[in-house]
Parts: sequence; C-alpha cells; structure tokens
Amino acid sequence: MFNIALPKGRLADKTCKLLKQIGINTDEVTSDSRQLVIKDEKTGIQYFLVKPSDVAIYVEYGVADIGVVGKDILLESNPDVYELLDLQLGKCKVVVAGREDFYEDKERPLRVATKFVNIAKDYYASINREIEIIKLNGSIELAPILNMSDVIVDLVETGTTLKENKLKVLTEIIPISARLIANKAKYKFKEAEINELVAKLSEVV
Amino acid sequence: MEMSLKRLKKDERVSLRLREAYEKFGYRKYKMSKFEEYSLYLDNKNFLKCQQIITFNSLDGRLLALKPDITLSIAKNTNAKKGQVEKLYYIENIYRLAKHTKEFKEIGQIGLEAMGDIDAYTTLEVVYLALESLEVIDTEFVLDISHMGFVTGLLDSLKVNSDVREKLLECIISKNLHDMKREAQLAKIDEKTVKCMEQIVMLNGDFLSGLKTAREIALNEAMESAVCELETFYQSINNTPYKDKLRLDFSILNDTSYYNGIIFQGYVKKIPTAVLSGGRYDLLMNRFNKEMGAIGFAVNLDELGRYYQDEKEMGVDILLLYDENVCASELFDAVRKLNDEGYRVFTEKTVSDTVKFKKILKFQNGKVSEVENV
Repeated sequence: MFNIALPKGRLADKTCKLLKQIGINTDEVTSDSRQLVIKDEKTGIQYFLVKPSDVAIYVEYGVADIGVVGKDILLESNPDVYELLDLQLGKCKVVVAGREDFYEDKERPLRVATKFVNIAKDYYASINREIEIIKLNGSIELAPILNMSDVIVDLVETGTTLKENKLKVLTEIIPISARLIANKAKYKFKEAEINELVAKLSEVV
Repeated sequence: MEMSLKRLKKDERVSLRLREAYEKFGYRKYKMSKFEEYSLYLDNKNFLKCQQIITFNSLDGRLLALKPDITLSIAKNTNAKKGQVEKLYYIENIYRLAKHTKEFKEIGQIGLEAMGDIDAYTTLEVVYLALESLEVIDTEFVLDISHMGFVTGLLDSLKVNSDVREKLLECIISKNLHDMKREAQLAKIDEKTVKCMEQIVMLNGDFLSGLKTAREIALNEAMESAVCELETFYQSINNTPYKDKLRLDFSILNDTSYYNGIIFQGYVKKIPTAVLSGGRYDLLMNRFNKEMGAIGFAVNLDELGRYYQDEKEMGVDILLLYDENVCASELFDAVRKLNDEGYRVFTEKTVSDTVKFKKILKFQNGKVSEVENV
C-alpha cells in the first residue's frame, strides 16, 4: 500500500509508537534489525530505514510515498514535497549560541559555524547582518571555544551540551519538530489512503 | 523501411505521437536557435524556474545564453494579430541547473503555445491537448487545475507584508496546515480568512465538489471571477472522455507577475514529479508590449526514458553466431532474411556479454540453425 521512509534511530522508534496507536503494526521495525527494507505482509506497508538527512531525498525521488523528517532538514534542503502534518516528535530548536562572555563586534562580519548553512544564511539575511559561514559537520560547539567562530547556529534540545561547554543561547531562530511529508506525484494517486493516515495521526499527536 | 513505433524509446515514441496530436489541431512546428541574447532572460528572470544560465560571448562581444526556456522566445517573436490566434509547438532541448546534482543538464521538452485572442474554445483545446499528451505517456494520469486569481485574490485581501505573504504562499504550496495556522496567528489574520485558507489547502482534488467549496469560500470579486472562469471551463471539458482525470488543486502556483487565469500541472503514475506544466500567461505578453492573451504548456521528456524503461525492448531479438570460415555475402543474406521476418539481429563469433538477446542461433554451412548447449 505505502512505502514509508523513516529516519534511523530514536525518531523511528517514536514514529512507530505513533503508528501503533492508530492500529498499524510496526513490531518488526522497532526490533533491532539490520534490515534496511522491512515489509509488513498484512498491511502491505514497506518501511525503509535511512539516514535522517536522506529521508526527504527518498521521498522526493518517489521511491518512498511518505516519510518522517525533522523540520531542520526540510528548511535546509527545501525539497519539493507536501508537508502534511506536524508530528510533534523530536522537539527542539535551532538557536544562535555563543560563549558565555560573548560580545558582538558589529564593525566586522560575524563568523558563524554551523551545519545548517541555509538556515543560518536566511536568518542573518532577514536581519541584514553580514556573516561568514564556517560549515562543520559535527561537534559544532567546539568552534567558538577555540575562537574559530564568533557564534554557532545549531539544534538545541535541553541545552546541557551548551552549558557543559560554557556556551549560552543568544537567540532562538525557529522551533523544530518531525513532520510527515509526501511525494507530490504519489500523493495524487494515493490521496485517499494518505489523507486517511494523516487524519488518524492528527488525532493522536 | 518503416520502423515499428514499438522499437523506439519511450521519449522518442511520445514525441512522435504528440507531434501528430498537435498537428491535428493545426499547430505548426516552431524551430528556434540554440542561443539567445542573454538580456531576454535577464529581464524576465522570475519567469524562469531556474535562475542560473550558461552564458558566453559572441564574436562581436554580445553576451549570449544557451536557452533555459522556450516560451519566452516564442512570446517575444509572435506576430499574432488582433482577432487571431497563432498556434505553435516545439521539440527542443533546454539547459537548466539540475537541483540534486548542482550541474547543468540538457532537458528535452515538447510543448505548445497559443497566442492572440484566447477564448473559451482555445483554452479548452489547449487543456484537452495537455490531457491527451499525458494519456500518450501513461493511461494512469491526472491533471491538476488551479486558477491564479483565486489564491492571489485571497492573499491580496489580507494586506500583509511581502514576508508574511511569501510564507503563507509556501504553506499553501506544500499543503502545510500546521505552519500556516502559526503564521496566520502571528500576523493576526482574522479567523474567517484563516478558515478559508485551510479549506483551500484541504480541497481533496475532486473537481466538482472542489468548485462548490471554492464558490462558498470566495471572499471577494477576484476570487469569485476565478471560480466563474473555472465553472465555465469545467462545463466545456465535461463532454470529453477526460473529465474524470481533472483535479482541482489550489496548491499549484506559478509566478504571479507572469501567469494569470487557469494554470495546470500533469502527473503520471510512474514519475515522481510533474511531467507537464502550463497555464495562461497574458501578463508575460503584456511585458513585451503585446496586447494579447496566451496559454500553453510543456512536457518534460527527460524522465520518460528512465521511468518507463522496457527491459524486453532493450538489445536485439537474435544473436547469430558464425565462425571464421563463413562466406560474408551468405551471412549478410541470412541476416537480411531475418530482418525481413521482423527480427533485430546481432552477429558475433562468440556469445557476447555486451548485447542482450532473446534467442541465439548459429550460421554454419550456409544455413541458420538452432544452437544446442550454449
């Protein structure tokens, strides 16, 4: 019936719990399997477990009809898909953070370390601030500590990592949560089924 | 020798059949040069879906561009007169940036344009040909129809700044109710209008019931006249065999400074993106100081080959093995004889792993015979 792309890890487990609540059996997905394609024979639903940042790609190419993906990734890659529901899972925020003693020198461009290049660019363009982006792929917090950047733009859930590294949140850019997305063409041909799923899910989120 | 249509690749087959369909209605083929003046594209940047263009200098120093679009040139060149319609179609390659690879890509396009006095008949004809084009590609298809005036009419009435307008538009395009409600709340938009936007997003595609809802939620004159136009259009297309393939979906939108009136996007079962898109673009004509209407569409041929690959049709029918002592003219005659019987033949001394074949035969002592134990 459907092909669903799920992000490997915690978000997949949480999504499976939601699906279970609306009567879709996801036992095989939650078990610690190394299989990448899991098919539930009863419902005909096929699950793909993929890297979180790749979910939108699988959906955009249409091999998955629908998928679950963080809003941060949608903002960053801007895929041409329908965003049908806020699943209210994996809630966090994209923030600007800097050292506890951060003081902004407005005479020169701000150096921003981040893995979210587009979100950072859009945000600073919206407040007319000139920046220099330093693209990193992990341990972003290290950049201001070593004075490689002035600030970072990163995801924050509880703020513990920031605190442990003597960093603080300077501005909140946007709240993030997991979204249910659908391929535009597949949606036209499976509209009734997808809408039914969305309606059921919206009752339990 | 006539070649069987079946032997052609999907995109070649489709483009031949579409030419026939368009010429039936009197559309003439339009051929354009590979390059155009860059200024044409620069002046109309927003009309192009892709802003990056390959440019180079001509020998006399003018800046030229490899064409990223066909409609702009046709619109600029047309000399349709008042009271007439010029009808053209084209099969051309265009050059655009591919989103995923971030590289320029050559894309095959076939499309048609009607320019001049566009009336209800011409609109019906063009939309009908769009539907027929989709059917040629795949019998499972849908055509999404929208009207620019309906959504812009709603957004104009909001009197919000362009930032908010842009965000709301994005939400409508991605059917994103949750963020739309949030944005509307921040912008202090009244409840009735928010409800109306929600209904626009929630329309489930069925054309008739969608029209009914649209009539109910029309808040102003612009929206009402859009609904009227859609109703007239639906009445006219109702008699064709395609009426069940139409969906009403206001989430498809084109650039508002060029397009007005009816717009549409076509989808087929196997391809994950819209394969056809088009609509009414009087505003572009006005930019070229031409007081006339225009409507047209383009079909993207590029994806067809990939998504409609027919395994069986790849390769040849017969692999014909021969040995070194063969008489060339006898072998040639045998191949021609098999050709005449309708087979595609590949000759080789040993079984080739580069050619796919359905059957293997051998040529020995002037005769074609079956092969045992290949």
